[in-house]
Parts: sequence; structure tokens; C-alpha cells
Amino acid sequence: MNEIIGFIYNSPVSSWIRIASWVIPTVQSVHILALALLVSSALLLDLRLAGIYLLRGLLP
Amino acid sequence: MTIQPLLQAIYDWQLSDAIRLSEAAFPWLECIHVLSICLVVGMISIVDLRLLGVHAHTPSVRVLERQALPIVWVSFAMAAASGAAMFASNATGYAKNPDFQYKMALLVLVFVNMLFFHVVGRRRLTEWDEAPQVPIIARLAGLLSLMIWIAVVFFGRRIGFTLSPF
Repeated sequence: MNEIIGFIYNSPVSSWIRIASWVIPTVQSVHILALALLVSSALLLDLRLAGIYLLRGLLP
Repeated sequence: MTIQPLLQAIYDWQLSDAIRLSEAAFPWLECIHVLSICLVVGMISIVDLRLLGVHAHTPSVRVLERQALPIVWVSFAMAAASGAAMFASNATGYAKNPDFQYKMALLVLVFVNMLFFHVVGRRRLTEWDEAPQVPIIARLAGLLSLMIWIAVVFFGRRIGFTLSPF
């Protein structure tokens, strides 16, 4: 297990991510944006399944 | 700058001091901030994508708005409150951070874009509510909103990496 982790840590991609200062915030931003879409889509689907959100909601 | 005394007053505030002294407060505020931003940006993206032609569970823009906007506003209030608390803990430091300044400017832009969509973009919405392709002006507002929100998240995340301690 430790060998696998060490191999990942020492790989050129891992070193590059640690060295380039803009990489971590950018990757984290992409991570957050993907989470945003995932969580929001799941919430919409859940509310739809729960019958709270209807296909044709009560229009004004 | 004349706002310097105000920033200092915010910094010296009791609550700001409590956040600085507490080890747990800041990570909790960050968690609340990121989670509520996820809902704000995610829900808005779903509406934006609908304007760009990718529809969710309903083709109706009005239904989607009615369902997404309450979640957006509640989440935005949570994001703004947790963000304000984090800002207060180091008001003088954040105010001169370029990434923070960009983020705030982009939030103003996205708000202007929202007003633009509300006043101009939604014109005769009942006529194109369920149309696969919406008017160009509404598509433009959706595209702008999507791009600006992505930039808001980007600069927001950068703040945590560029902040001078005090």
C-alpha cells in the first residue's frame, strides 16, 4: 500500500502539481464547480422524486 | 484610502477577534461557504444551461426559475453571511487582496447581468417559455451568468492561497 502511495507521490504529475502554484487552486475550482453541478442536479432530482417539484409546477 | 478606519474597526470587532482566536471557526465557515456556493452556482448553472438549450426535468423556464430561485437565495444568504464573517476576521488583509477585489467586482457584474435578464431578457417569456431555442438576448444573459460564476469560484478559491497573514 505504502509503495503505491509513494509511487503516486513521486510521479512527475504529482511533482508538477506541487511545484506550479496556480495548479492547486485551479484544480480545486474545477472540483468545486463539478460538485456544484452534481449536488444541485441531485437535489433537483430528489425534490422531483419526493413529489415536491413537479414537471409543470404551479405557474403564477 | 478613507475606508481604512472602517476596515480596522471591522477587524477589531469582538466577533472578528473570536473567529481569529478560535481554531475551529474558520474551517467551519469555509465549509458552510463552499457548500452554499455549490448550491448557488449549481442551481444557477442549471437555469443558465436551460437558456443555452440544455434542459433539466422541465422544459419550462418559468417552472425552473420558480423551483431553483428559492434555493439560490437561501444559499446565497448563507454564503454571504459566512463570507462576511471570514472577511471580518481579516478585513484589512482581504480588502487589499487582488483576488478578493476581482471576486467582489465579478459579483457586482453578475448582479447587473441578473437585473439585465430580469428587465430585458425575460421579455415575452410566456411566448418562449418552453421553446427549445430562447431569444438571443436571454441566451446571452445565460452565457454571461455561467462564465462570470465560474470566474467567481476561481478567484474565490485563489483568495485562500494568496492571503497575506495580516
